[in-house]
Amino acid sequence: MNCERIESLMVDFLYGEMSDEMSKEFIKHLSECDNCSRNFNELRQVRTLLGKIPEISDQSLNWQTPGENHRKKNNHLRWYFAAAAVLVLTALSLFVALNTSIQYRQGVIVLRFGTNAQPVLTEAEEKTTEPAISSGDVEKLIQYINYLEEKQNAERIIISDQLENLASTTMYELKKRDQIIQLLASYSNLNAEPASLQER
Amino acid sequence: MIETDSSLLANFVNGNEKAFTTLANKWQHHILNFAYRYLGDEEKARDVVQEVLLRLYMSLKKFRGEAKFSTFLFRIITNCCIDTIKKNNHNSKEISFEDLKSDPDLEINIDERTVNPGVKNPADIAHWNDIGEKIRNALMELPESQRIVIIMKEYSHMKFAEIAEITETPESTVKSRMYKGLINLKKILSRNGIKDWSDIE
Repeated sequence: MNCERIESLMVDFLYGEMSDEMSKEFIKHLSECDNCSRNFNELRQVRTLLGKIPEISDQSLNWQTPGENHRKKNNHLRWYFAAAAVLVLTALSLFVALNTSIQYRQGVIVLRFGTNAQPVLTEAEEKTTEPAISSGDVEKLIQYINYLEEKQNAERIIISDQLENLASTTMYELKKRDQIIQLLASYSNLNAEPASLQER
Repeated sequence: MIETDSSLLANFVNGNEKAFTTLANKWQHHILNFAYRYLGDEEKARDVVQEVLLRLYMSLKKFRGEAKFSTFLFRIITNCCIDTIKKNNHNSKEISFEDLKSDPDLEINIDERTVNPGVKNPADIAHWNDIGEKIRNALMELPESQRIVIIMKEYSHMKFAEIAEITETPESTVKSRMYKGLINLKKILSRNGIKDWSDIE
């Protein structure tokens, strides 16, 4: 090995990325060449000093869930978010998994549960003022709820009945935050189909 | 049982949000200190951690495992750091080695140390903290291409091949940057105060 070759291999040796055989040649050259030996020692010294940079603590770091970030960035969607959350949660928490139907009638959303299938007005009716959800939107919501219901068979979703805390916890626990956001985002532009549903 | 990155990833992709929090807690210290060394600014480094974790969260469901998770993660970290530098570019200035001026007030003669670096006493700790500061500042004066390689190698203990993959640079270029970076650091440190290198081990 000549000096030029040794120089090109210095960092390999310094960080232990050199084969044993080549390492022997490398060491042999260093023992015979003052210049290369001096250069290598300098690298070693710099490396020693690099270990002296103090670390900083991550104790004050507070990882925010993306759900919280989304809410901050999507204030205009909050009404849709809350309305859909109430609807989805009410549906899911009350579902007995059989004979459930959802209808849009005279400006309100009607859910029917159980074998007797008595119409039940959701809390959405009381909470919604404006803007009104169009029947087209409801179709999409129904489609989405049906999807959730199907998913429920495969994976039991734990529903919190703390509707007041929807915004901070429950939707997140539904594990479908991104789909819901995507669905709701599509309502702000009704020409766009919700991608989450198109994919399925 | 210690959960591996891949098992946490799999759990998260399957809908377990807590797996992501575990992953975030596991990596945030490393991300923070990587960004701190790269950017030289604690506040910006803390912002980078949040940004990295957010980008990671948003992109992980698309992660198909073609690359190692660490490679995937460090691409995000590097991009976030570069974005931060670009954002603050108007405040930064390029410094060439020739432009460096030594500041007599910052000079340290290693021979003046009265204790061995390995001994932990307050004077020793203060001294090495001061040295650490000098190294950190010197690192900031390196060209970014050299700085990033040194940080990845020295503090994230990556193989040269992995650094090459993350930075999308030939491995030979990575090694060359590493070598030049170390040589340049030596020059900067010599000009900025460390005069006697004979007993640094």
